[in-house]
Amino acid sequence: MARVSLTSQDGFADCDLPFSCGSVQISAQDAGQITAIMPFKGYAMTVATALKDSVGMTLPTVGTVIENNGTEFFWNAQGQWFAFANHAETAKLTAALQGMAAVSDQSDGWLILALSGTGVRDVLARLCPLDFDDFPLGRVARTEFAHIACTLIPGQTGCRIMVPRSYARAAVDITTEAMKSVAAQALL
Amino acid sequence: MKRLSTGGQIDQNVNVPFTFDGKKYTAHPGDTVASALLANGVRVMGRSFKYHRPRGVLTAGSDEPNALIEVGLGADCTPNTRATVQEVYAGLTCKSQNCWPHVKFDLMAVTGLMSAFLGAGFYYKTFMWPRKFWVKVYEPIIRRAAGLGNLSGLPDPAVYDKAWAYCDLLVIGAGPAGLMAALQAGKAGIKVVLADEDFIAGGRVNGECDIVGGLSGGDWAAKTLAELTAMPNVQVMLRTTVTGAYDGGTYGALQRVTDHLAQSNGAPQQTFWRIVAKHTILASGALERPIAFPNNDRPGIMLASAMRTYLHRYGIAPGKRVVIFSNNDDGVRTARDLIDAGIEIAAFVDTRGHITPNLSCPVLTGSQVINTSGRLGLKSVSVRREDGTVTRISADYLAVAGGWNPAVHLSSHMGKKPEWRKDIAGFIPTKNAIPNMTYAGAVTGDYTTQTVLVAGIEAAQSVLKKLGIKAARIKPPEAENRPINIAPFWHVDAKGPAWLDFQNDVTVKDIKQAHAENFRSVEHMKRYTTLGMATDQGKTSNIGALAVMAELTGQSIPETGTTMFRPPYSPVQIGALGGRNVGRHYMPNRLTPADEFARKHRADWVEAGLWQRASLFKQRSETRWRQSCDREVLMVRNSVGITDVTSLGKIDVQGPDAAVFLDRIYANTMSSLKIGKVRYGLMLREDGMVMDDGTVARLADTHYLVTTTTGAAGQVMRHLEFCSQCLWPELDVHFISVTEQWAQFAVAGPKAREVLNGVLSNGIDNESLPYMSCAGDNIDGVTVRLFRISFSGERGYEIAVPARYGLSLMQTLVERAQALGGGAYGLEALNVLRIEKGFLTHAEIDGRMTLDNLGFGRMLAKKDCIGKVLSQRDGLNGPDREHLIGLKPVGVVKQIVQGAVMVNVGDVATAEGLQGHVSSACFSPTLGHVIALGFVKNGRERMGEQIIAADLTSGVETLCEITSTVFVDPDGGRLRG
Repeated sequence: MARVSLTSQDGFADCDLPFSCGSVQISAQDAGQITAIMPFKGYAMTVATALKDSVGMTLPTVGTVIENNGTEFFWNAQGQWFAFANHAETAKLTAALQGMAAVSDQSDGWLILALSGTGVRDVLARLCPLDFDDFPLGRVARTEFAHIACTLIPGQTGCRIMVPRSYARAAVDITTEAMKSVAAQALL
Repeated sequence: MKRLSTGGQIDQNVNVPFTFDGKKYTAHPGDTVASALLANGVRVMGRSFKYHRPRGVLTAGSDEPNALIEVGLGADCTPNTRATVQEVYAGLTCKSQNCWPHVKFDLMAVTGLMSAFLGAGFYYKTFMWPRKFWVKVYEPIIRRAAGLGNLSGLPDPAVYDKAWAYCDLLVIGAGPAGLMAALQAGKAGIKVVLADEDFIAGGRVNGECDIVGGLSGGDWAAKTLAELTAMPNVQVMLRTTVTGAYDGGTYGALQRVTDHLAQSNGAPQQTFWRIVAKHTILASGALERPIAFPNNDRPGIMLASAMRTYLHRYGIAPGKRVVIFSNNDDGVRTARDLIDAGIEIAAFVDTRGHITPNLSCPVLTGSQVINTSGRLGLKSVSVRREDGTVTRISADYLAVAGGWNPAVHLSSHMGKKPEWRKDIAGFIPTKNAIPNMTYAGAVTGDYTTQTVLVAGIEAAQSVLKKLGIKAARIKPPEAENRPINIAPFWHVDAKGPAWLDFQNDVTVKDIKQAHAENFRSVEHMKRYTTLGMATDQGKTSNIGALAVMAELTGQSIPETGTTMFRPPYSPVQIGALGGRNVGRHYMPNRLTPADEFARKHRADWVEAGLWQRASLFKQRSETRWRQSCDREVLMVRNSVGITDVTSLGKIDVQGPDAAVFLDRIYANTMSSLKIGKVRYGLMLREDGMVMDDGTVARLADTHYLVTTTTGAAGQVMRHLEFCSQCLWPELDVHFISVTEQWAQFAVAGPKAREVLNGVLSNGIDNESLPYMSCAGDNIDGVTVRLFRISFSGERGYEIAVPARYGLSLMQTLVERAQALGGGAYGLEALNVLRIEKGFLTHAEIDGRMTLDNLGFGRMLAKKDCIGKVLSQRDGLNGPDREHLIGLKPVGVVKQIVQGAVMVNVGDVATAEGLQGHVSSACFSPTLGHVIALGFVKNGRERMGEQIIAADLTSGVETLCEITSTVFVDPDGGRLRG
C-alpha cells in the first residue's frame, strides 16, 4: 500500500511562545498523554483499586488535583476526571480500567498554557472570574478564560490553563494583551 | 474668579498648558478642567440641552449638570465629559459642546425665545401630524437643535480592560467615613478594596478649611491614605466610580486609568471592574442641592459647597462680589470662609427669618433671591426681603446652599427605595436594601465630620463582627461637630423660569404643567418632563422636583416618593463595557488544525459559530466567488474534493446503557445499529420540533460516536447532559466531546476511494467499507477513523485523525486529489453540493419544523423518544403544514432568493396568502440553473405545480416549479458506488 507519513504539528505553532512581559511569563506546557476517565455506575471502588494498583493513586475528590511521580489526576466535570501521564502510565491505566470506565484519549483536544511571575494575579484578573485568594494549590476549576471554557490549575507561582486546541491562538493573543496592559500600568 | 497666590491642593510651581475652545490656558497639577477655567476667569463652559442657555459650573464633582465638554480630537474625542471631573494634563484639548458657532454666541439659543412653547410634553403634542414628517423633518431638526456632545463617527482608538476583584469588604467612598472604615478594617487584616471616584482621597474635607486630627482636612486625608496604601491587604482604587450594585455582592466599578494622562503608553484608558465583596460599606457622602428661583442657571451661580471647594481645594477666589443664598448653616459657613479669604460678600440671604448670624457683611434673613441678570454671566441678584421690598444687588457670583441629599443611589440599585429623614429634609438608604451593605457617614444624613469619622469606624466594626473578627477599635481624630440646621426650602415663588434640572432644561413650570395634565406619579412626571433623564441622572434635581410635585399634590415628600435609582451611578463609556472584546477579539476564534493550509491557499473565510471555516479556495484566474464555487462543485462531481469538516461536533458516548440512551434521544432507533455501521439521525426538542441532525456510528457494543452540526454542537451536548443528569439519571451512560481531539476531512467524488487508498496503510474497497459504515485504519502507524458517509451525494468518506496530524493529512489528501484532477473545496461548494442532493442544514432545521414537515415522518420509530408525543400534536403535521420541497425557476426570472416568501400564482404577497418560504438557494453548476429548497403548504402533494418565490426586500419575483428535493442522482447510485 501507500508509503505516506504524517507529521505532527504543535498546537501553539505561530503563537510565539514562550513570551515574557513585565513580571509575567507565558509558555506552552507538554502534559504528555491526556486521558478522560468516566467510571461506570457502581464501579467507583473498583476503579479506585485498579488505579491504585496500576499507577499508584486514585481519583481525587471534586475540584481537586493530585500528582504522583509525574502523573496527575484531576476532576474535570461531573463524574469525569482527566489524567496527565506519559505513554507508559497511560497505557497502564487504560488497560486497568477496561470495562470499568468510559476512557477516551484527549491528548490532541487540549493544550496547556502556563502563566507565571509576580504579576500573574493582575493578568488573571483581566481574563478569568475566579477569586485566586480562594484557589489554593491542589484545587482545580472549570471556568471561563477570556470567554473560553477552560480548566484552570493553580501552581506555585502562577497557574496552568487547559484550553481546547482550536482556541490556542485566541487564548495566547488575549493573554499577551492582558500581560502588556498590566506591564504598562505598572509603569504609570 | 482668580487664583489665590497660596492655598489649595494644587502645585502652583508647575504650569500645565491646555486648550479650551481653541484658546490656550494654564493650569496646575491637581486642577480639573473646571477649576482651571474658573481660575482663568472663564465662566461660560457650555450651553443647555434644549434652550441653549449659557451655562457655567454648578458643582465641583461628578454631579455636574452644566459644564460638559468634549475632550480630545478626532477619533479620540470623548463627548459629555464633566469638566469638574476631568483632570488637566499637558496638551489637553477640549471644547464646549451643544453650541454653534461658539459657546459665547450660540445661534441655536434662538430656541430659548421659544421656551414658552417648548415646555413639558412639547414633543408629544406638537410633532404628531403629519405622521411621515416625523422621521424626515421633525426629528432631524430636533436632533440638530437639542443634544449634548458629538461623536466622532470613527472607531474609538482607545483600549479598555475588564477585570475582576474580590474582597472581604468594599468601601465605597474615600471621604472621612470611608477612610476610617477602610483603616479600621485594614488594621483587622481583612481584604479591603477602597474605591473613590475622585483622584484624591478625603471627599468633603478637601473642600473645607476644618482641622481634622490636628491637620488640614486634605493633609489628614493624604496621611490616612498613605497608611492604607502601605497595607498589603488594602487595595486603594482612586479615580474609580462604583457604578452599580448587582446580585451576589457584585459591584460594577469604572476605573479611569489614563484619562488624566497625555500618553497612555500601552495602558488602557479605563478598566471596568466587577468587584465581588462579602460586605460593603457605602460611604458615598451627600450631594448639595440648589434652590429653584427665577433665572437660577446663569454662569456665576454655583452651589455653596462647590464655591468652598474651589476656594479651599483649588485656591481660587470666587469672584469680586458674592451673594450667598441659603436655607441652612452651610450658607453661614460659606460666608465666613469667603470673608476670611478677603472676598467681598455683597449680601448674605437666608430664607430663615429666625437666625442671627454674626457676619461682617449685609445679612438679609427671611429673604429670597427672586431673580438674576446677566446674559453670559451673573451681573446682579434681586432679593425680596422679609417685608416684601425688593433689592437689586450687583454681584458676579452667587453661592446657593439648599441643603444636602445623601448619595443613596447604590443602595437603591436592587429595587429598594430610600426612606425620608425629616430632620435633614432628605432621603437616606433603607436598611438591608442591598444584602450585606451597611452605610456610614453623610449618606445616612449625619453631616458633621466628627460623627462621620466615628460612623466609619462603627460600620467597619459591625462588618468585622459579622466576619467573626475581633479587632481593637481605632480612635477617631478630632474634628468639627456643627449641625447644618436646615429649614427646608425648595423653590421661590416668583415669576420667571426657575430651573430644577439644569441639564435637561426642566423648570418648576414644567412640573406644574405635568401636574396639570395629571402626570402626578413621580415616575410619570419624570418621563413627561424628562427631568433626571440626562447624563447626570438628576443628581441635583430629582429631590427638588419631587418636593415641588408634593407641594402641588398636597402630599408629603415621602408620600410622593422618589423615582427609581438605576445603574450606572455616573456615565460609563460603552467601550469600557466591551473591554478587550472588540475588533479581532470580538469573540474568541476557533481554528481547525488545517487552518494554516487554508490560509496558504488563498481561502476566503466564513464564520460558523466561533469557528473560522474556509468558504472558497480561489485560484488566481478567479475574480468572482461563483467562479471558485462552481469549479469546486464540478471538481467534486467529476473527480474528487477534500474539505475540512473538523468543526462538526463529535461526541463520544459510552456505557452499558448507551444504546438505550440514544434511542431516547433520537427519533429513529440506534440500538439496532450494527457495530461498524453508521446511521443518519434526527433528534427532537421536547416540543417536538427537530433540534439537530447528524450521524451515529457504532464503534463497539457500548461505544458510539455521535456527530452534530457545527452550530448546534454545544446545544446538543447540553441537551445530552440535561437528559442524562435530570431525566434519566439511572442510565449508565457517559459522554465527552471529542470534537477537538480529531481533525476530520470529507473526501468526496468518484475518485475519493483512490485518494484514500493512496494514503491508508490497509486500504478500502466498496465491500470492506460500504455506504453508511465505519472502520479503523492507520497511516504509517497513525490511527485514523473512516466513515463512509456523504454530504455531497457523491461517493464520500470522512477520515478522522488525531488533531496534531490534521494539517499534514489535509496537505497529503489535497496533493493526492490534485494528482487525480481534484483539490480542496470550501463551505460554499459544500453548500451547493448538499442543496443539489437535498440534504438539510439549519436553514431547513430552523426550530419550527417537525419530522413530517421535513419529509422524515416515517423516521419516527415506535419506541419513545424526546419530543415524540408533542411532535404529533394536531396541526403540526399533514396537509395544512408546510413541507420541504425543491424549487426550480420556470419563468423569465431565473434567480431565486433565499428568504423569499412563497405565494400562489396570481396572489399578492400578504400574510394571509403566504404559502411558505425559500430556505436555501444556489446556482447549480451541475444542472446549469438555479435551484432551491424551501417550504410550501402541503408541498409534497403539489409536485409539478407552479408557485411564486417573492423576495420582498429586493422585489425579485420568480415563477418556480415545485420539485423533489433531490436534484442530482435521485436513485443514490453515485453515493453507494
